[in-house]
Amino acid sequence: MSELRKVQFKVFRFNPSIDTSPKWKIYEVEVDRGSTVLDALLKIKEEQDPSLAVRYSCRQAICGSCGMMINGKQRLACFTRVLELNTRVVVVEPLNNYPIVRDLITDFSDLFNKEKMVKPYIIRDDTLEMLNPTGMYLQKPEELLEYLQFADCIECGLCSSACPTYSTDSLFLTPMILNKAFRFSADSRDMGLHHRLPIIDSEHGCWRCHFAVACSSVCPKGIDPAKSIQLLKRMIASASIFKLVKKKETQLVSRHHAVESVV
Amino acid sequence: MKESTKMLIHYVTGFLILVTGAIHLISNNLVSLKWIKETVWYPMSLGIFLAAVLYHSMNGLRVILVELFPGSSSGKIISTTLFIIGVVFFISGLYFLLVLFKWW
Ligand code: SF4
Ligand code: SF4
Ligand code: FES
Repeated sequence: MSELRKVQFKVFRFNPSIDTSPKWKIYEVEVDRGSTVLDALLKIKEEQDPSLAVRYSCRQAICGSCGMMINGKQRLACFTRVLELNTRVVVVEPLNNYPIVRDLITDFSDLFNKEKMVKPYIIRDDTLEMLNPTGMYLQKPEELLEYLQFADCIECGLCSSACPTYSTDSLFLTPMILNKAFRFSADSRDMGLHHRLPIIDSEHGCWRCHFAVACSSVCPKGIDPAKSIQLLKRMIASASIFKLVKKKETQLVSRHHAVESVV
Repeated sequence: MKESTKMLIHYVTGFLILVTGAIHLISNNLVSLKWIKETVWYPMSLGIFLAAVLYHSMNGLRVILVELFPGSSSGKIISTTLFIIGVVFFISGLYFLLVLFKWW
């Protein structure tokens, strides 16, 4: 059993239906070596103040729900150990750059609307095969590596919260969405770049990224969205200015053949 | 014009500013290379410098302003206004150059 230590939590509180202005509340919580900030907040909720609003689901850095500002930095509450922060007071606030719903919960509607605009799915022009699938598209290991790192995004929104461009330009597509656009456009099975171009190659698209890399420094999954945005710029420049579109040829194999080759 | 084209010109003009700016500095400060100023290429490089500086600075300003004042109509107003300012500066700058080199 590891030793328990008392830590103070300074928590941002604001309920728009009753409060006229935000306030800070201090709570004292006993934590051990393994306690995360989310554990501590849930303890506060259970033992001291049930009115505290926190959003969470998986508690293991998979669902992307529990992003918040912890000691001034964008972090996942379930992925941040209290004692590793090494401070006597832990300051917890809602994520920057998003409207506040209540206490530590922020509204991601703007991000999800922008995500729809970049068509975050594989687009193909062989419509008949899409409607009546006869097989699977083969992908070589090197083709997978083109986008694998960028496919791990859990949509926690930490990167977009840290982005200085998004803090002034509310129409900027933001790193989370631009990373998504790159992830699909770089997929060897996708043929949809020209459908995404009007949005990503626009006044508030990827060219507004100034490569400050704040997004990559807070990503809990090591995605490096700043890199995917620079790769996206290169892809757009080749396709849109120099008309150098690499023709994607994916091999379609019958389901029967695919199962046989796995066995 | 597509945003990618505007930004490509932005990077190209940045490079041109470096080259033509270097020509200007070298020919005015190195005695052994003063002859550059006597050639027809010198006023031409100054003309290119003028155009490049104006495009690069006006586009840089546009980028800052569209971020500060997001909105489709504000974007158009900002771009049109800066384009007109850029053209006015270019015509007057070109006029001064032509007069200076006695081509007018
Ligand atoms: S690198 Fe680009 S997207 Fe990432 S924080 Fe900086 S400006 Fe925003
Ligand atoms: S790129 Fe990283 S920080 Fe951004 S939403 Fe995805 S997982 Fe979160
Ligand atoms: S609760 Fe799912 S990422 Fe933290």
